[in-house]
Amino acid sequence: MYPAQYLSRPWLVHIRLDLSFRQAIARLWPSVQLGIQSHLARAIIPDTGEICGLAISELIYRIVFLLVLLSCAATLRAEGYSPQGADSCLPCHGKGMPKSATAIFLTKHASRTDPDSPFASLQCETCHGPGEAHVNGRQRGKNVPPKVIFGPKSTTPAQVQNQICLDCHTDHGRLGWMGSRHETADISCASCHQIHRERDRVFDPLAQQETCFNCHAKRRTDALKTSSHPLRFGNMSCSNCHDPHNGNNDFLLLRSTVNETCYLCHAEKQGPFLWEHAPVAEDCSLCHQPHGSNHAALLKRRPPLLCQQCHSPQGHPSTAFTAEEIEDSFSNRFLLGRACLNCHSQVHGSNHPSGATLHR
Amino acid sequence: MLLLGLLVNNAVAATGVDTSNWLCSFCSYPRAWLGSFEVGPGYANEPSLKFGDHRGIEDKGTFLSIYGDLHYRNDSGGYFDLYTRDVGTSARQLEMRGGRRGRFEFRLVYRETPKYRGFGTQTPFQGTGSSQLVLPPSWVSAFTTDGLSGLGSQLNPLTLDTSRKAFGAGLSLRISSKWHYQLDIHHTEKTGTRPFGGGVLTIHSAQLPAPVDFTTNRIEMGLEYAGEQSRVRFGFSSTYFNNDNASLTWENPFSPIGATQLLRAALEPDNDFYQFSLTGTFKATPRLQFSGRAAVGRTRQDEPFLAYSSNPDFSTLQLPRASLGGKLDTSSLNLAARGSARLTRKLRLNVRLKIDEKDNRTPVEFYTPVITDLAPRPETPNRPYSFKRSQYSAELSYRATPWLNFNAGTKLKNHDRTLQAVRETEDLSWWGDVNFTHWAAAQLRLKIETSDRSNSPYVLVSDPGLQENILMRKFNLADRQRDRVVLELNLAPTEQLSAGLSYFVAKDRYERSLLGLLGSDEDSFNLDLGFAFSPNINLHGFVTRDEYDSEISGATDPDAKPWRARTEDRFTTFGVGLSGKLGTRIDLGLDFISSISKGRITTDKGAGEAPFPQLKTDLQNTRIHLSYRVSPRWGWKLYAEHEKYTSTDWQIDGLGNDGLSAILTLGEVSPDYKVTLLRLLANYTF
Repeated sequence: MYPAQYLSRPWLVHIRLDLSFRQAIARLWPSVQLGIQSHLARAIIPDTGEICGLAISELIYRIVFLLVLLSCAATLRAEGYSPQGADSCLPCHGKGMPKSATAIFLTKHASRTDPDSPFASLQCETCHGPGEAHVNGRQRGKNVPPKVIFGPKSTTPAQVQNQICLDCHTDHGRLGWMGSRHETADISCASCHQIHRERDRVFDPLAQQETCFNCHAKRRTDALKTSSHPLRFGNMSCSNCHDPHNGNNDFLLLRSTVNETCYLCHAEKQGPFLWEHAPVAEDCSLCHQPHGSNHAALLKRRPPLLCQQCHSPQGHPSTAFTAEEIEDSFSNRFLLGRACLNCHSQVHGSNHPSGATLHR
Repeated sequence: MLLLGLLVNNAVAATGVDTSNWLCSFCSYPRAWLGSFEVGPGYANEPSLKFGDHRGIEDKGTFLSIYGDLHYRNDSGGYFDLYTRDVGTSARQLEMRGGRRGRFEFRLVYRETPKYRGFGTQTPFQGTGSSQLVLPPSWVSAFTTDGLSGLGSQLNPLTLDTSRKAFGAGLSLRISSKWHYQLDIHHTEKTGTRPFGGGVLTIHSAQLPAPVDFTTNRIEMGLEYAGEQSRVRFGFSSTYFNNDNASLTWENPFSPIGATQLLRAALEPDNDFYQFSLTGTFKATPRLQFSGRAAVGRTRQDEPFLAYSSNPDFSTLQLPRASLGGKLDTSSLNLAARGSARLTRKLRLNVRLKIDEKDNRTPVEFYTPVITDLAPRPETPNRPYSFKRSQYSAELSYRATPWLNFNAGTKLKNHDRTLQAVRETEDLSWWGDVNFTHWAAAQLRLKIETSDRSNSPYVLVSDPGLQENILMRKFNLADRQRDRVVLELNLAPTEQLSAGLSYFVAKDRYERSLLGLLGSDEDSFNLDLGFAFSPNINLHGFVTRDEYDSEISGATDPDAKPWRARTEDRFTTFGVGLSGKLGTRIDLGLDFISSISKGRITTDKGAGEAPFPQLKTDLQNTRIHLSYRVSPRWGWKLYAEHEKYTSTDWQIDGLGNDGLSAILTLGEVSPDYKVTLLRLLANYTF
């Protein structure tokens, strides 16, 4: 009934996650030293008798060795959970506190009826790891950080942070996470997501952009360009085209290809048309700059030059139109207004039997 | 509550941790209804369609501003969330979700997006918005626009705009701990008018307000199984597009040449698309994981054809078919066998295979197009283009230390096409990057990428009567050398100060092309700065400079001297903002953004031609927001925004409706505006 991650994540799992090898050795070293000393002691202590058939030195050694084992276990057990769970955390992280976490109680992460929710299990410590040392440290006025701290500035490695999220969030949105650009770049989930908020910022179209622009600063400028998708006022968000978790598709797109992604909103261009325009059927981004452009309709260049980079039959398509042609009453029809599109308006394809030149 | 207690106790019992004292007595679970609303008047001091583009505030005067969120929670996991934005404008948004945690969720979304497609436009055509455009009864036609004597008095203002209304509904259902189901339905209506170039007879054209009345329904469904080591999702998605206007008919505003004055173009045909997919991951070992997606789909289009021409001279021409019978099969295999293999603690390998195939099975027939309703062409076959794209990539990552990471990879892309000048394209790229991270204090990333694209022989494909220049190389089919460098540096030397710097440069070279695109460059520089004066007062700013250059070459015939044209686009964006709290009651924010774009185009025929006039847009936006909390429940918010926009575009400025002798245009102008927007909102939280 309960997800495997809870069954398979007792305290030792947290230890494995939280402690590097070097840290673990450092904590166990006193016990190890005791073990070594007892080993040496066995050779030094004279045999003065036997108890229950064992030499006294051997008996002492075995007792000490047992104590060493218990000490090791106790050392690890010391990384235990807090005595009162969330009640141990909330006196410092309650409402109005600088690091308040109470907004989480509005969210699914704090649900106690959903067996997948952290609060149906070990509350705060489901994600943040055993908190006893942190709680005790704070009570003694020491700054002992929680085992797992989330966020881009955390000292907890992104892989460790993410594994905790991915223990639960393995649904279809994350099926392509492993090996994706964000994953290989060590972007932690909490770099973008904010769990201790009533509403995660990335679900608000405007706030989501700001989150993305933090790293993709160039896109902020694109959104302000003369021609752009409607991101600026939140009518659209980055996630309308991109799935930041899905590395299966190029550019982390929602769909397998650029065109399939564009057709989600621009289904009228899907065709198939009687008269296809080859680059349109192949890749919208051959002509369009989806993030923003200096030219209408997000075009990479302005017609007629956009069209002339591929079309040069004799006649007006191959004519060099210069600034002088602006005043030329014959030539300017190919240059001004909508240039080529003054007549060839069906650039995405035509279904008219006479539309071979994309006029109709 | 008893059930809840049992549930939680059972869950934690499985972890082996004694939680008998974990009472969660400080957990402040909200119950029943709560939320906040902001309501009040807004005022815009000037009308501007451009200002209202996407924003929904295009008229001068007052409007109602409503924002809000509403939430409901109960002890059994029931929840409901409602978010609204800009309800009083034509860019309103509403989002709602509810359900029971861990069991099911339903979702509803509604969004409106206004889009303005031309400014200062006017037209003599009547019937705007319909598929039949007629001229006024007293229309006097002429061979050129300067002879259209009644034009000035017969022009009517025209608003070229579309409104996209998107409605979405969704359901997620947890059938059992291993099975999940998801259904999303999207219904989008896009209505309005857009500019459309209607070629008229030989060399004439009329810019028309074409109707937009599109409806798109989209269904997404998924059934997902979550096992211990694997997850599988079976998905179905489909799109049904409907255009209420199959064609656009208009009257010729110029002197008659042929036997008809009524012209007709086909508008976007109805189509439908469906796709089945299987997505999954399999964790073979803790260090080896596979994932992939396979999908097959089909797009169909069978809109009845219009006649070849509305010209009665060609009424006897027979179509080979009554409709296209268009059928386009797509398949996608994405064995991003994201063989995400962690070979050792430090070394990791990702390999990927991706194949996309588009098989256009539309029947090929010979058609006799009548170009501009006057000139029949020789029989011409339609070309249903098909292609297959294969992509193989491998990426090796080596983590030398916790703060130093090296990555390198290669990618081979093969592109096979049918019916095009180049049958096969091969693009091989190599890249490497180094990442240095010193926790939050410093991050440095340098990435270098190079790729080389080569092609099978270029064999010209021309339609009868349209012989392409044999030297032309279409840029997507041409040999290309591409180089890219990315440099990113983020520094946070102190708790208060943070800085981010990025530089991107990309160069594409088509050195074997004599005609066509010869090269394109992109340079981008960005600097971000943030400074916290105190925990409550922050200053942030950024500056970005983008440069795009491209050069193409053309020639009137293979023996003529080639000409060259260069496009240079420059963007400079600057922003600064201050946000802070003054005491416990006042929040203050101030933001300024400036975005200036310039474009210069030069066509060089070898005679020292002057460049075209500069294209320019200048956007300056200043925003202030101030909120004052009167009590824990009540407050006031004041938003003030001033935006100034100027633009020049030599392609449309000064043309009017009759600036081109053979083209009746819509009189579009570059937009300029200065608008101040105020909102005073009462805020209530409960």
